[in-house]
Amino acid sequence: MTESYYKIALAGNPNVGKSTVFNILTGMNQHTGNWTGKTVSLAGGSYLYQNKTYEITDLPGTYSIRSYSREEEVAGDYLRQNHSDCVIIVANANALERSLVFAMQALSLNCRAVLCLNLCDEAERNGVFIDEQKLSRLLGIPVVKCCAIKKQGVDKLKRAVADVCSGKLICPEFSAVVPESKPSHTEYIRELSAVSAAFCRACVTKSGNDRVTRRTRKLDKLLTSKLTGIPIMLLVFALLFWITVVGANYPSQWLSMLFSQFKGVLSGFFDVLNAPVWLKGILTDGVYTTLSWVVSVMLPPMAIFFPLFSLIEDSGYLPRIAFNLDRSFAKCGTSGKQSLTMAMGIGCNACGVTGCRILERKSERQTAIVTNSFMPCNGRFPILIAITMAFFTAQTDSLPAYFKVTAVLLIIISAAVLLTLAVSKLLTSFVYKDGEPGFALELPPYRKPQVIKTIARSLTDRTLKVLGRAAIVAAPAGAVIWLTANLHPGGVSLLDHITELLEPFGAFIGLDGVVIAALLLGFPANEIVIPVMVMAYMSGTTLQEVAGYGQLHQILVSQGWTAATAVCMLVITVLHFPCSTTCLTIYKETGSIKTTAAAFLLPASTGVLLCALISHIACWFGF
Amino acid sequence: MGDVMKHTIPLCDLTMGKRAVIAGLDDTVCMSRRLADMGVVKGNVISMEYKSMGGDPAAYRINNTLLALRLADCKKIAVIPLTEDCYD
Repeated sequence: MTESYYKIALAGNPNVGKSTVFNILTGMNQHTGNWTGKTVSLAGGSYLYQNKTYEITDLPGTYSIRSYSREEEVAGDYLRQNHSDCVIIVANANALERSLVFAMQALSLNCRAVLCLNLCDEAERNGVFIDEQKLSRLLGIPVVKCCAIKKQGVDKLKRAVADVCSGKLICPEFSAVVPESKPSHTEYIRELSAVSAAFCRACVTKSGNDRVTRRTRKLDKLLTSKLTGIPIMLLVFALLFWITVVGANYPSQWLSMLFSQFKGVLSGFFDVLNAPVWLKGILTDGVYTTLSWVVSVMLPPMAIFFPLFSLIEDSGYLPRIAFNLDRSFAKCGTSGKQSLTMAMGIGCNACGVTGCRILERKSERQTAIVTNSFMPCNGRFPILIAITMAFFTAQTDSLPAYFKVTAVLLIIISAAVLLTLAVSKLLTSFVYKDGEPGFALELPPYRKPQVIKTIARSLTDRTLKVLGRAAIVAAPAGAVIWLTANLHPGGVSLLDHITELLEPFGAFIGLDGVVIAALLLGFPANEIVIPVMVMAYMSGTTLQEVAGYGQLHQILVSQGWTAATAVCMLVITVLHFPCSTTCLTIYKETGSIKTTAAAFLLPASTGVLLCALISHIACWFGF
Repeated sequence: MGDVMKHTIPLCDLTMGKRAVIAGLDDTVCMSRRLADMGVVKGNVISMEYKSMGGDPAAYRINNTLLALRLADCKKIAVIPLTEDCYD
C-alpha cells in the first residue's frame, strides 16, 4: 500500500438518508438531506477502523450520474476521475428498484463498491424484505443492511468497506449493461431498469403490509387537499414566526444587558491602559458595540428559527409546499421548487441563494436567485418587528401586540411572495427565456424528525455559521460607523454630511436621509439599521439602544415620522439591496457580475418605486 | 402493436387509485431524461395517487416512490391501464 489512508466516496439518490450514513460514519456534524441539493458542496470527513484511516467524500445526492444538473456533473466527475478505494452506494431499501438503477450506473464507473441498504426499518414496516446475500451475488459487491438513524449495521458496513479496500474481497467488473454503447440516455436507463426489476423480483419479498405508504397517503390527503392544504401551510408559517418573535424577545434583552455590562469593564480596561481616546472609541463604541448588537439581536431569533425550520425540513413537509404551489409558479414560468428556496431565504438570503441549486433549469435558477432577497430574511425581521411594534401596536409586550406583529409579518411575507411571482413572470417572459420549464419532484415519505439531534445540528451548523459570517462583516462596519459619527470635517459629523446629502432622495420616497444612510451602512448586516438611525436622530456618537418600543415611537415621531413613513420603512426594509454576504454568494453561485448587479438593483428599484408611490398617494390623501 | 395502441391512454387520464404500465413517452416531454432517471421508463408500473389542490401537478407512485408531475408532461406519457386497483 502506497497511501496511508483509504479514499471512500459516498454516492446515492436523494432522500435515501445518505447524509445520515455520512454523519454516523464520521461523527461529524452535517445536515441530513431531504431534497436534492442539501449536500451542496462536497463534504468531507474521516473515520478510523482497525488502525486504518478512511477519508470519506460525501457526493451530492443525484438521480443519475450523467451530467444533467450541476450536482450530477460533480458526482459523475468525481466517480470517473477520483479512483476511490471503495464507493459506498447508499440505497433506499424501500425503493430498491430505483436505487439499483443508480447503483448499476455507479458500478459501471467503479466496481469496487459496497451497497448500503439504508432505511431498512422503514422498508420492513412497509412489508418489504430483501435477501441481501442473493443481491450481493447478483451485483458482485457486498450488500449491508443498515438503519443509519438507529446506528444499526454501521459496524458491518465498515467491515465490508475495509475488506474491499484491502483487497481481501475482490469485486468483479460489473458487466450486466454496457453503459456507453446505448444510443441514448433513456435507452440506457430503460435497459438498467429491466435488469433492476429482474434483480428485485429475485431478492425482494413483499407482504401486503404497507404502513409507511398508508401513513404518507393519509397525511398527504390532509396537507395537499384543496380545503386544508393552504390553511395548514399558513398556520405552520404563522406558528414558526410567532415562536420566533415571542421566544427571541427575552434572550435578546438578557444578551444585550450582559454585553452592556461587559462594555463597562472593557472601557475601564482601556482607561487603565491609558489608551488614546480615538482607539478606545473605535474598539469599544465602534467594533464592540456593533458586534454585540448584531449578536444579541440576531442570535436568539436564529437560534429559534433555524432549528424549527430544520424540523419542518426533516419531516418531509417542504416538498409538499412546492407541490401545492407549483401551479402558481408554473403560470409565472418557474417551478414550485422556487418556493423552497424562498422559504430558505426567510432564514437567510445567502442560504436561499445557495439553495437555488435545486432548480435544474438555468432560467429558473437565475430567476430564483435574482428574486430571493424579495423575501425578508432573519436579519431584517428585527426592523420589521420594531417598526410594527412602535407604530401599529400599543407598544407593549402583550399578547394582542404579538398577535398583531405576527399578522403584519404574515401580510408582509404574503405580499413579498406575490411580488416575487410577479417579478418572476416578468423575468421569465422578457429576460431569462429558455423554453417551457419542466417539473419532476420527489415527495419523500413523511419521517419523524429526530428532534434533539436536528436542533443540535442546526444550532452548530447553520446558526453559528450565519452568525459567524455576520460578525466578520459587522466588526469592520462598526469601526466605519464610529468614524462617520465622530469625524467632524467642517464642524459637522461625517454622518450628518451624508444624511444631508441623501435627504432629498429620502424625502422623495417618503423617508429621510437618515434612513437611507442607515440602510447603506447596514449593507454588511441589516441588524444595525435601527441603531444607526437612532444614533443619527439623537446626534449621538455611539450606537443607541432604546429602552422600549414606546421610546422608539417618541424618537421617530419627534423626527416627523407618520404612519405613512412607517409603512414606507416597512416596504424599503423588505425591498432594498441584499446584504453583502448575499451579494458575494450570488456572485459565487452564478459567476456573473451582471446577475449579481441585477439581484442588487431589482429589489432596490422596486422598493424605491413602491415607496415613492405610497408616499405620494398618502400625500394626496393628506397624511 | 396496433392492439397495444388501442389500449393506451395518456397518463393524465389515469383515474385515481389505478395502475398502469408505461408504454412510452414522447421525446418532446420536458426533461425526458430526468423522468427516466426517476423511473418513468417504458415497461415500469405507475399508479395515480392524488392531485394537488389546483389539479396540476399530480402525484404518481412509481417504484415505490412518490413523484409529482405536471399535466403538460403527463399528456405525453402513454400508459396501458391495468384492471386491478393499486390499493383498496
